[in-house]
Amino acid sequence: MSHLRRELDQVIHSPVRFSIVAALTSVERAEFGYIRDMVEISDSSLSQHVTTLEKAGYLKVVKTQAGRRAKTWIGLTPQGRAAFRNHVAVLNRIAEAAPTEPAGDGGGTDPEDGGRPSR
Amino acid sequence: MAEESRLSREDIDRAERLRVRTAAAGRWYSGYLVVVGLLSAALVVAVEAFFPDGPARLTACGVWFLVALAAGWWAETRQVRPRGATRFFTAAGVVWLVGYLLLVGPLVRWRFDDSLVAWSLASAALSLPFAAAALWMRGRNR
Repeated sequence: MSHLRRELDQVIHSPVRFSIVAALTSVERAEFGYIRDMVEISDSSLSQHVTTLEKAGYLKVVKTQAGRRAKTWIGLTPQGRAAFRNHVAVLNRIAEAAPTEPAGDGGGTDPEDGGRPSR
Repeated sequence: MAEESRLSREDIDRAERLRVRTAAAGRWYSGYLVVVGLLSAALVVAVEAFFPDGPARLTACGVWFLVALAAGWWAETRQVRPRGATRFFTAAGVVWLVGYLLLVGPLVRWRFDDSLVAWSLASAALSLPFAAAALWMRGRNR
């Protein structure tokens, strides 16, 4: 029987990408700059993460023109929403299966070091 | 890479806060739908009760088009569009248009001609889909 951590989505499991996808779950689309400011990362860093999520089919990028200004919108695909829901469900299952942590443990789930659940 | 893949409790809490803040940033859309509903009602009353014929009717349509265009442009300047925005807007618009052109419009014109009271009530009823969509979205993106 394989450990639940193997069901975690490696694309979403990065903290930054997890934040980006979480922020996008409640919207149809958001402007690139808005997500950059919310997640507090640079343009280039967000661009890299967006490319990774787009390649996985979790995110779509749409460019529009508002007057003279070009706007870049990002939004989750149905596949991306499903992947995030599944990822959160796996995290919850890991948390439910975990023994009680001693007080003061920072917690965290790292699939590379045994997938120790954080919650 | 191992550091990058480590998702801590704080990361999950932070992501939840981001989700809530982004959802809150999309609440403007409910008000926008109400404004579009009011604009649609104003158009119906203007062209059916106040200016039922003549060039004034065309002018009223032109003014309404410019105001609707300005509202649409303003909406495009927002940074967040809530989930289901396009779907709800399209559904409300289609119901309004079909109701006006095929059902309520011909019926009120036939029975009440250009009565202001009748067209005010009819336009309010026709705009209900926008109000319903606004309420639905407000509850959904809470």
